[in-house]
Amino acid sequence: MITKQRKYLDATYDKVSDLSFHDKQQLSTNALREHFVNHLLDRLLELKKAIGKKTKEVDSVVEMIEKLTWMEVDEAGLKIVNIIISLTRDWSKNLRNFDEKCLETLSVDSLPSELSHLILSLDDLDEAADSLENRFFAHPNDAEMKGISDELSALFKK
Amino acid sequence: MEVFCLEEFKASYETLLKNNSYSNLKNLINTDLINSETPEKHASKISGTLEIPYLKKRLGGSSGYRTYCLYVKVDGKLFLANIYPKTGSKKKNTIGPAEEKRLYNLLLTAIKTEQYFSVKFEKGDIAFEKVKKAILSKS
Repeated sequence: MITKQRKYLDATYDKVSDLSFHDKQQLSTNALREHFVNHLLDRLLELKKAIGKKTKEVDSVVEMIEKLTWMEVDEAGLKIVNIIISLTRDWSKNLRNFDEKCLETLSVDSLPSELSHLILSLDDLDEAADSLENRFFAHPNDAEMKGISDELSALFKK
Repeated sequence: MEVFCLEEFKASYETLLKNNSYSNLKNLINTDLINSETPEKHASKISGTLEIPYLKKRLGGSSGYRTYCLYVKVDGKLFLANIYPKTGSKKKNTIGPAEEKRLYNLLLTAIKTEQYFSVKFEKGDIAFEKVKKAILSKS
């Protein structure tokens, strides 16, 4: 008579034997390992592409801000510049939070080099926001800066 | 482009060149400054006029260098105040408005007193030569 315990024992044997046999075959041909590694590499590739795209977006905004510093703007324009400065800093902060999440999740060895490029571009973005602030708000309200500009203009006057 | 620099720029350049990580600097000065017809490219206007803008220029992209300079557009002259890297052991993050003002003032004083160097690319190296003649009276 097959007891309840014997049934359970057989079921356990069947399960272990199936899995053990299956995985022994799979792992001996590296098929399972390849499947996991490929999946991981696919995801890492996706992450690299996403970071690369973000870096290009940041770089394009840095160039736009640089060009903006060459323009003269009126009072209404200054209000827009002020908003651009705030939005830029906010965007940079959010992207840096994303960076930190990646750093927490991935080991240093598996970090894509794209991430360090993004961090450098974010430094540029912060710098661009600071330059915009100095160019339109700090320096124009500084009498000494204006004095230096006036003296230089007089020195090079033809 | 006729390029000149202040003592501060020359001292920073010489310090940086002692470090192998910054060996690309001399070529960047040659291509992006001495041989450039558009100093406005990759540069923010910090102050001054459109004719004589005071610039912060990026050399070599994000991981490169920053230089503050005065561009005298009509004469095709560029006066470099300082230079610093964005990466490596000598890296600087950013310069605040007070330091920007100090450098602007330094440029004015150096030009007024004719205390600066000409910057040229000779035999694969950057050559500095103290300017003896008055650049302003020459113009």
